[in-house]
Amino acid sequence: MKVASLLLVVLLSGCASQAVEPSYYLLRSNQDLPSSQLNPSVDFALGTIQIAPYLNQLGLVIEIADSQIRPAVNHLWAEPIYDGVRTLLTTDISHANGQELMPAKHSKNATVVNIRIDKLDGTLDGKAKIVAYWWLVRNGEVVDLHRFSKSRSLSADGYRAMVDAETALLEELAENIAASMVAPPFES
Amino acid sequence: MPTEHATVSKSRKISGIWFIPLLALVLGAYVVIHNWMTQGPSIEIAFKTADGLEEGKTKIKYRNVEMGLVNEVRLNDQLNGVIAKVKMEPQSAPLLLKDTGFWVVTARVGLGNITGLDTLLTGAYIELAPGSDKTEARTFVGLDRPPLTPADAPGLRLKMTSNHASSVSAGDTVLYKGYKVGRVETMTFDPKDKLVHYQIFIDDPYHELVNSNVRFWDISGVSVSTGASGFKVQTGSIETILFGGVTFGVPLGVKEGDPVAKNSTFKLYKSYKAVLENPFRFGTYYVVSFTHTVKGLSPGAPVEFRGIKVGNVVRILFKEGQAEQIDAGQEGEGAPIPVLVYVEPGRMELSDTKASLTIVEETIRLGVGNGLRASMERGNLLTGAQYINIDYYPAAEEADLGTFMQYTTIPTIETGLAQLEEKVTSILDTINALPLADTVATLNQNLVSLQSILDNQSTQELPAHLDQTVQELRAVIGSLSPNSDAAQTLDSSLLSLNRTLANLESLTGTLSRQPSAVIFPSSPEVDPIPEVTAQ
Repeated sequence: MKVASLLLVVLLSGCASQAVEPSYYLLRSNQDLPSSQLNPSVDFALGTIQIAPYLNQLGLVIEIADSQIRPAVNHLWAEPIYDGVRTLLTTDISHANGQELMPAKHSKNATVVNIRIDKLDGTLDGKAKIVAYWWLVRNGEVVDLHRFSKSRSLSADGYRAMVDAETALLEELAENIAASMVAPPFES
Repeated sequence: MPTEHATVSKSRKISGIWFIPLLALVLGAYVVIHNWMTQGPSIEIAFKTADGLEEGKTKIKYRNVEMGLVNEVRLNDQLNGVIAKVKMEPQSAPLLLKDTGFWVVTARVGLGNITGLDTLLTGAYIELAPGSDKTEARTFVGLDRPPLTPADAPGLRLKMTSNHASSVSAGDTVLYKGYKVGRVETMTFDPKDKLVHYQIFIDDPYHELVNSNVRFWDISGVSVSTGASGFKVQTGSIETILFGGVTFGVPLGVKEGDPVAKNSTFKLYKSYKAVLENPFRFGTYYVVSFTHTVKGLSPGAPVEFRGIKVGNVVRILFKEGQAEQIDAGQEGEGAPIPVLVYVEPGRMELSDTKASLTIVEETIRLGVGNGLRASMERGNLLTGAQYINIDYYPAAEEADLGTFMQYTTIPTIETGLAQLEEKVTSILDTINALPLADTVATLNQNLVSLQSILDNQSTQELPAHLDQTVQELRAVIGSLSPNSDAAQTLDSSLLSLNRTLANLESLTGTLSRQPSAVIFPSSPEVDPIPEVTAQ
């Protein structure tokens, strides 16, 4: 009986496996943000930010072949990616322009910036890629439209470096958007 | 020398050697009788299949104590099932009652739980659940799955009926104010009455919450509605969202009822809204017949007593009326059109009980003798909708309650031109009696006051305020548009819910394919790593 019990314990312990602890990542701006009184932007406001539905995953998305993606099981976003992207872009665009970008509903006569992220993922060969569009709407009409497409090599292996590269790409996108936001000429 | 003769006599003494077989016989008889006296009963249990049953191995257990052993498994005479013959322990005899349940315990993976994991190591066994019936039995029909509630569990067993199966099924939870108090035990559909029948069990002491006036309604899934105050999401517990469930309570405005007997039947409503629409349990049907047009009278139209709603119209029995006329040989005589109405005592501030039903029936019976009649009235001049009005007409001709099909009929009265004329005359008399001159003078004064109100600055500012209100309303509506923050937040929340459900589906899928994954975990999935060196 003792021998049988021992055998059972040995067999069961052989079947046991080590659980993998998941890692959680956050998309946040690397800008230095000291405490200060801020100026809300009067000319511009943030409209909608659309994220490609395939990015709405718990896990970070990696491209394993052309048009074939795989969401990671153990490397997860700490919050829905929509919230992370919106926070980062709002912070960086506001920082670049020196004026805080407010939601469109708070700024009635402002030019509204709308953004669409079509691609934001990594590849097995150590790159991060982004494809995004943004357009400015003034008085109900589209007055400017841009596309931003870029890839960036990771600084090291792994998902931490991939998140860093995606953050850098989003910061570059924010700079481009901020540069395109030119106030309309004064209407007399 | 005298000769001595030896006397030879036959010995009658039984040899001592015979004592041994005699002793053996006595001992043998003792062993047989003792064995016969101390052995337990043999029983037979019928199962659909012999899955998990092995002769000489499968045990019968009650509270994890061995109560017997399967010693024979064979096909039944019809060859459509199996009979397991079981030798039971002597102490099991008091447990073998008519409604005692037996089922095979194996590892089962369900949506809500996993049971019988220990049988992966020990092998399947038959579980016994003692019944409450006093009659002993030796043949039983095995259950397909374990009973959700033991037969002797304290609580209250009730029945529910529903017109449609909705998402409630056996095993679902019964909640009271969100707290689990029982479960749905069985769900069957009866083709005769075309109703879905449920058996539910409310655990002790929560069965005291059930009274004759409680209503049961379905709270499965998530209910999302939009209104002026924004999105409204109504859910039960996470268990009811995923697997369905039922809750109960006394509807708003209805008094607590009396305690109910076991196996009482309740109706299962689709939602709480449906409960509020039909908050009363007891009602009675009457038929009222009209010889004039029933245009504008539709099912659901109110039945009123002097302006108070006491019931509603169920159906116009035109076909049945025609059939009755033909049966009576009165074709072509313009038979009246019968209308089936449903009257509820609860609407008349009476308690919602059977006793109140008797009071209403008796009141109507006595009332008809005093001129109680039903009539059809126009409820809405624009749409032409009509309703049934019940009132006393002391001058009406004598009439009695009648019968149509299985229903009692209330005599009707036509509110025709004569009555209209009477009413018009009455109205004209009233108008004549009015102090018109004084009224016109007062009216003039009022017009002057009205003019001053219109000239008032705050009144003139009213359109501007109205315009501002409309703009604010537009802003509110805009905030609910698909591109709004609210919509995007809801989108994000729904995606989170979707992801949770996807994970759950993956888990249940793994467990269905590999029930032993709970104790023998499969290898963890490894993510592909992006590598700079691969460039």
